[in-house]
Amino acid sequence: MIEIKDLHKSFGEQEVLKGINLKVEKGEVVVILGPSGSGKTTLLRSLNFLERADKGEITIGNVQVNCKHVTQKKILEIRRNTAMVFQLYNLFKNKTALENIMEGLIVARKMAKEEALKISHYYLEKVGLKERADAYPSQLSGGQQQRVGIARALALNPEVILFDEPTSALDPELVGEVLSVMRKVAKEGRTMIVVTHEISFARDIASRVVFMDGGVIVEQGRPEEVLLRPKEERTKKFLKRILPAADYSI
Amino acid sequence: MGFQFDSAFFVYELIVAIKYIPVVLLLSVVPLAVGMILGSAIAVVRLFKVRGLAQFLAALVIFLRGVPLLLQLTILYLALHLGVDAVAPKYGLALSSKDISYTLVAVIGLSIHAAVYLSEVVRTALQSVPSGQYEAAYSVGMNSREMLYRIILPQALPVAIPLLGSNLIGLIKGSAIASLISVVEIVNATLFEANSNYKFLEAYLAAALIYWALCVLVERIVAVLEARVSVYGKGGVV
Amino acid sequence: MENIFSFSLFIDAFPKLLSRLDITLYIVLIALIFGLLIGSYIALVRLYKMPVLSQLATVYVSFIRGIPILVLLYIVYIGLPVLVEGLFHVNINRWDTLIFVLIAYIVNSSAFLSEIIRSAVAGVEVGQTEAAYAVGMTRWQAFRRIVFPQAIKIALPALGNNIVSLLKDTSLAYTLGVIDIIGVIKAISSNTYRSLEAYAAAAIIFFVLSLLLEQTFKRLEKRLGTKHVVSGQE
Ligand SMILES: Nc1ncnc2c1ncn2[C@@H]1O[C@H](COP(=O)(O)OP(=O)(O)OP(=O)(O)O)[C@@H](O)[C@H]1O
Ligand SMILES: [Mg+2]
Repeated sequence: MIEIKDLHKSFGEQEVLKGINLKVEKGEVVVILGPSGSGKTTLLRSLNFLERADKGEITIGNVQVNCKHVTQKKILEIRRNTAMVFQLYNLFKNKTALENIMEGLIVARKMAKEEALKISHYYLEKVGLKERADAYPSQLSGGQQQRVGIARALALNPEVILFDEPTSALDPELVGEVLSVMRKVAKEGRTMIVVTHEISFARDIASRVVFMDGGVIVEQGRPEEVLLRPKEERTKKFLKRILPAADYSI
Repeated sequence: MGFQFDSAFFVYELIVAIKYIPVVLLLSVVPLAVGMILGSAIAVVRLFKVRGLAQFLAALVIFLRGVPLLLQLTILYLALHLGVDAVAPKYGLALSSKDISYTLVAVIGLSIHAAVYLSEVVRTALQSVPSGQYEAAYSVGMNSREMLYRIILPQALPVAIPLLGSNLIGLIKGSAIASLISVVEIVNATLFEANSNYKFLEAYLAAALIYWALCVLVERIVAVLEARVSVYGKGGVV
Repeated sequence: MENIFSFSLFIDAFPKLLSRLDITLYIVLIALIFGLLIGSYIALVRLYKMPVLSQLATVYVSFIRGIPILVLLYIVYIGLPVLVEGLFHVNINRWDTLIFVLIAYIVNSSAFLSEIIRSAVAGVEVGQTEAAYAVGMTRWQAFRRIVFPQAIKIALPALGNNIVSLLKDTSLAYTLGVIDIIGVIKAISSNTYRSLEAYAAAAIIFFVLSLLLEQTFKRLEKRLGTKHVVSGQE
């Protein structure tokens, strides 16, 4: 279970997160929507301390931290309870697809090599890239790289997987293959927090949709509620902008 | 009075020059190693913006980059001599400027010179690794040390190797300047032999040939290392 | 402290050294201009793979880049008269030393600059030339309007580094007896140990000149939008 309490974060003068409260149950798939600059990325990055929040409390699994006084050890524990799928994949360029998945298992999870190898092969197959195990990132297409990125996150078996716009850097014809892997993962009961602009994914897969704007959560609820019958004016305006008129009735 | 190229003496000088290759290596490889250690320290201090120290080192690097090696070596040499002679008697030390080894002064001077340039090499190499790689390493739960050794350094190395190579070549050639503060290396050794018969051209050509061979050798080694170290960067679709 | 470093001697050294600054700058300028001309020619010979010439150019560049400038200075100083005497039966021993120094620095910078020019031109994608041909440009037009401006951008940082190196390398001209900034120190100081202050002053002068050059190039790069790169000290 994940719980975020009153999370604040500023960059210099600019307050980007203005008190975020969010609870995510085990097995939930939470999709975060919101206009550009609303703080979605900052929220995800604060959850695994790639960004250090100024104030607030984060609980992930059995690790609880107060962002004001956090030790390096706690940060490592939190990171070992989470995994992240990046917008620009960020595969280790000096490692093959298979090694990318093994890396975290061997180094961070201190797993024996044979076991890590077995697990890595399993997840590589799961994302449909069994044949490309020995390819380096530069030899893979964007969609393939992102599927390795997802496999890398899955293999760590974390409390939660954080996805930051995993398909937005991809060519349109490659979006499908990544989304279908994500659907599969969601159906297995993994806990996921996904920032995306793919409304169809939110509608079909999310257990909850969270709408953020200006550093706060404006409204949240079941996908059909938030997407079809938004209560807040700001949500309506946002949805109108990203959904073509004909599609509005989903 | 036509000029006669004395090929026998030229060959003799070649052998003299070859015998002094170890001195050239002492004056180039040792500074490279020392410079690498100091340079990495400088680079890390500057990358992590250690307050005060970072600014000081940045200024020092900029200053030393603008001063010719000849002046660095000469100033170090003179300052050490004057300093030792002024300080030693005061503390009753049985040390005089005559005890200072020219070679040691040259090694120290070349090491400082190397540290300045290598700090820039290390900085460039580390900065060439995109920040996404650091983030991904943290996101799978590595600590800073694991990240550095397993992810960052392997990627920084291909950038650093050719730069290290050209710095080593710079040091090999720079070591000739040590001849001007009386270090006996290839230039002075071959000149010494020519002093009696005035066949300086043979002496200098022999020295040149050996320097050239050393530099070509370093270039070759760098090419081999480069090919081995960057297999993962090559080819394929993106 | 006074017997290690005399501040007044240090200050007094500046006017004396600066009075010979013109010689130092002259060497840099001449070496740069002729180095660029000859270097461009060598680069073209190698880029267009002209038979025989191209192999000769490769060896020339490798050799010059592989030997210390100090050794090159002496080889030119002693070797050139011998070569000219042998080929043309002309005695040039009486030429001013400065001429030999200039030739040595031109030879040196032609080799380095040819490499910079060559890799910059090679760094412009073939597609650029093809596109230029495709819109009907001639070979020369394609080079002048498309390839050259892009190559300049690529070459600029290395060119800047190289000119700074050239400036610093001129500090060795004194070894042949030229009275430039360094040469004048040798000339005025009767006691070597008393010359520390003058050398320190020379260091400051070289530092300021290097800094000015570096800043000029940084500004140029910014105007042309070049990405900055750090190169070695070679
Ligand atoms: N490292 C940083 N330094 C300064 N400001 C930052 C930094 N990172 C983000 N910001 C600012 O914080 C605000 C929120 O950024 P964030 O990336 O979280 O938005 P987002 O909701 O993810 O937007 P998008 O949909 O465009 O990705 C923006 O105004 C951004 O400019
Ligand atoms: Mg974002």
